[in-house]
Amino acid sequence: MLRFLVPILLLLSSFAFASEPSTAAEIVRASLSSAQTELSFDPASSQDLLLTAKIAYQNGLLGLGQADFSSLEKALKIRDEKAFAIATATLWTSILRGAYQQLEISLQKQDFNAARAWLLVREYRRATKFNPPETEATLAFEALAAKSADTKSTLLAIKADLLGTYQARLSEALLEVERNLKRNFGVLAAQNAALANGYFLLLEQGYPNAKLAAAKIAFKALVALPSTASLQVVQTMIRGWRAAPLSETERNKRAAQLMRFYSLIPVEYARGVKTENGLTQITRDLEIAEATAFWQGANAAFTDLESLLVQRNADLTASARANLQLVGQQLELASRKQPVSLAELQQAIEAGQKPLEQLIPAAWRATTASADLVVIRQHLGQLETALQQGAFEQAETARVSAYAVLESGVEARIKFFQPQLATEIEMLFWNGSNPLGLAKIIAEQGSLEQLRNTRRELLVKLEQAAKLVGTDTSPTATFVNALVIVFREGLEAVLILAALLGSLKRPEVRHLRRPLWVGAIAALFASALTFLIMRGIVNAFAVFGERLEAVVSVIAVVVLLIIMNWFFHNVYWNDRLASFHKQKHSLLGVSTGQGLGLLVLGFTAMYREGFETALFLQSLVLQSGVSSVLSGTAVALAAVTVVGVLVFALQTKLPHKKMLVFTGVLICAVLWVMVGNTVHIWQVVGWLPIHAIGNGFPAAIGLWLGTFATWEGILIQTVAVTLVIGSYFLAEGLKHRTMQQKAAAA
Amino acid sequence: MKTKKILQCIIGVVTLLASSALADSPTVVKSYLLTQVTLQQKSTNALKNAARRYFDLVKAQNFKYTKLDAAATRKAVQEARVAWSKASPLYESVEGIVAGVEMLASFDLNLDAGSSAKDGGDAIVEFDLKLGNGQVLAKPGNAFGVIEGSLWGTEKTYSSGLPFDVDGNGKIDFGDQLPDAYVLQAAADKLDELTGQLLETAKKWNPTTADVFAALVANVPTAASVFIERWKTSRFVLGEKSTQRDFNVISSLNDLVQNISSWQNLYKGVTAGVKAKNAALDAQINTGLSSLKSWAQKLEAQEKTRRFTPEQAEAIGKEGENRATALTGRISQAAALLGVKL
Repeated sequence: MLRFLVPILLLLSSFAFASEPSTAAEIVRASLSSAQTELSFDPASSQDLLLTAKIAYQNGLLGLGQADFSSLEKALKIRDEKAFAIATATLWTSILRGAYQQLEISLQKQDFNAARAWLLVREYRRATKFNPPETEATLAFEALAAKSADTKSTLLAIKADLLGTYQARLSEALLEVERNLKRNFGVLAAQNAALANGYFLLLEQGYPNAKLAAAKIAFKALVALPSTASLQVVQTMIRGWRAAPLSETERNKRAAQLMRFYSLIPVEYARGVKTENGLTQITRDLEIAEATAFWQGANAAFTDLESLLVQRNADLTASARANLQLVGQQLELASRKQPVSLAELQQAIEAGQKPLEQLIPAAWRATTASADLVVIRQHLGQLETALQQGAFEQAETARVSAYAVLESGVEARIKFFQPQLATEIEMLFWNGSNPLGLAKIIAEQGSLEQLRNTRRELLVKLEQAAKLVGTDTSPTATFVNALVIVFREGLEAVLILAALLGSLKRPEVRHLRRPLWVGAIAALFASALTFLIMRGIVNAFAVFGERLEAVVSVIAVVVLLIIMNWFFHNVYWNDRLASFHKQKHSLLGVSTGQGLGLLVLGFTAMYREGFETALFLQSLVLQSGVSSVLSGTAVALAAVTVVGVLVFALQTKLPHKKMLVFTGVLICAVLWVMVGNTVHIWQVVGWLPIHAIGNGFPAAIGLWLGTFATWEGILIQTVAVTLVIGSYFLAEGLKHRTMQQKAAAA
Repeated sequence: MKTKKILQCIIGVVTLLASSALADSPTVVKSYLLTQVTLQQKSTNALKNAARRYFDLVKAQNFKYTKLDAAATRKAVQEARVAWSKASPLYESVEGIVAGVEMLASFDLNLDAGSSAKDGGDAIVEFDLKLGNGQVLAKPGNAFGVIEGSLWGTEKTYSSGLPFDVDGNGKIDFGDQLPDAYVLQAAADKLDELTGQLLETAKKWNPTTADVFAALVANVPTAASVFIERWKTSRFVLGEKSTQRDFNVISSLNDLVQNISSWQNLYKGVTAGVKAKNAALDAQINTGLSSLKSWAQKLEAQEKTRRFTPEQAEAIGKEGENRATALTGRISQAAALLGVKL
């Protein structure tokens, strides 16, 4: 009885109620899906559900024209599950197609109410860990409705969002056909083939006219008989085609994601496996899951870019695709506890990276702050999980990885635009005290609450940084950025060289200039080499950034102090004594040590800044290409050379005594900056404690004078310079006493 | 008299405005969360007491399970099972909130979602279980799961190994065995302790619109990727072939239904804001949630009488994924309309 009543009631309700297109569409879709399930269990119930779908259509979707339910009715009558599944997919995609057309028409007519209603009849991309569903169409439409955008740009944004989504769904449907064929799931394979066909019909306007008829035939053949062969034909037909072109921003975002995520796969994998006696085992599931998440991110980005890449070079794209799939298979094996060795995975990764390097122009690879933020968030989440589990070593690895992404990415630009913010972020990552830095929390095995507090603060700062640098990656900005970085870092090194070389002008010590030059030039080459090696694997280098700088800096300071000791005690003192023979003897007696010392000084003075400069420049290359970075670097080097020459010229023009005083003052200034920066970097990496002074100094003081607002920094800088100056006055005092004693004796 | 009436009117209007403002704000989510967790705590407390009684019975027999008094033992174990069966769905009804809110998320790991160190994976529980005999079970798995494994014997190491007709139907069938008294007692204590801590932490939570959207976008996709997937390999689908240790007593579909309730309650916290921006979208989300819930409920009813083929189970999983994807997409649009960045 009820079975007869339900349809009648539903039919009556259709005359009484008209519903929103989105509500009606969802009822049609859901009812047909349930009807399909019921077909083999309770066909009568299927019949009711089909009727529900029909009524819903009448109530809300008549604007799309009458729908053809006959295929569904026929399939239901003969209980043909496959035919029913195909008809369901066909009807559903025709609704999506009609809704999209209605949306365009409504927008052209400026009928916002209708447009808003039809915009809701759509599908969305599957949300991933890295990409929440797109909201461009919704926001563009609201901007148009609020009269803050024009129809043309709104239509473009809607087209990019919706057609991009349907193209992604088309790719997924084809993958599903493949998967279901492998599992002999005939109904599901046919249904996905019909879905793919429906999405293609929706997207066909963007398909080349010359091949359209053939493509339609290929899709129909796939629906009629899903097989590996018919699937391959379809895949070949659509390879390299994209219905809605990606905007430049979206293209760059995908390219940056692809390269970034791809390079992180082996980093994570290496932490999750170990190989002993030729046998590879999983040691950390979490790392394998992370590697897989990065692969999924890279694969999604590649899929979006594929059509553009094919246009550049079809063979290289095919090679990149094959390797990406191979890496995917290797990770799947690892998830089933049958891991391949790290070397094997790396081989596949490198084989995939090579064609991508050639395919993707540098201009596309702009490291967007948002892409980096996604990865940093991911690592910070991993850090929290590790800390929860008491796995402190793993937590530290996650922290260093997150910091490496920052340093190899946007940090260079943050330092340029907002040095204070860069310092704050640095302290949050390392050993800050309010809130506690992440490194400190991990080292002290702190609480989750402390970690979450710092993480929250860090994410706020990173969002600020992303806003700050996220809008400008123009070549001019990169040029200026590179120029300032190289000039600032180069100036410090050149001043030391100029000062020391200036003081080594006398013929008897002239030979000591050579090792200084050799060291400096060697460091210059080492920095250039570092820059070249870093290409493509900048992330791996960034992991060592701060600690390496801390070690090299302290070597530079120690050597500088030794050299200065010698400098003041011998050059100045002996010069005044005019005891040439004595001095020569003294110098010759220790020349090997001095030579080596000067060589080390020359090298460390340059390389301590050279490494970080190379790292930053490499990240700028990723953002805007090599030309603007090299131009900025060249101009900066020229400027640094000019400053060096000017210092030399000034030294030459000055009377000898004044030159010595000038050089001494210069070296003291350089020592002040070097010691300050060294103390700061030691505090950052947690090798020295931090006792802050008040609310801090302006960022420029830290940047140019190496003076940061901590008691340790000020104290050690003062002690270092006082020691050197004091030792000079001590020497002077001793000399006067000796002379007085000699005079008295005479 | 007139003044009194005017005052009453003013108070009435103010109360009405305040209550409607409260209903429109994420505060309503907190109120729901506190109510549910308070109820859960009553059940976990009852479970703790029943586990204690069972432990005392076993201890009185010097841990010789064969010497236990059948009636008293059956009563204690049954009471523990009833309390667990009440507490578990209550937690499921707030899981969507707990798992999605950063300051509460670790409770979800330890109460219901975390795996054991032995099983591995990317979400291992944080706690060790110290047993009364001095033994320590390092990171044994989530508290609800450990108790389920012990009370129904689905995890052999948490069971005494002695068959026992717990339900008193005269047969030894699923779950008919005696729990390990040490494990049950320690795990029940831990569950009650974690529930108390959750309640205290939840009281300190100040929910925001962004919290609500972040929790929804993180949780709704789990309908397919977690609940349906878990269901496909559970005893309810695979029967005796299932090797799953937990989620065998209460179907994952039931857990999904309870979770959708928590998503619905979460969404209540922002529905007014979304409705003001786009009423149709708001209706679509509300309908989507209730439709997903009735779909899962219908499936739960069907699982008792039907055996799905692998292809049908796959199709069901796909439908769950389609619904969850559409809902997540719509919720993301709603968040964007309210200026919330996800």
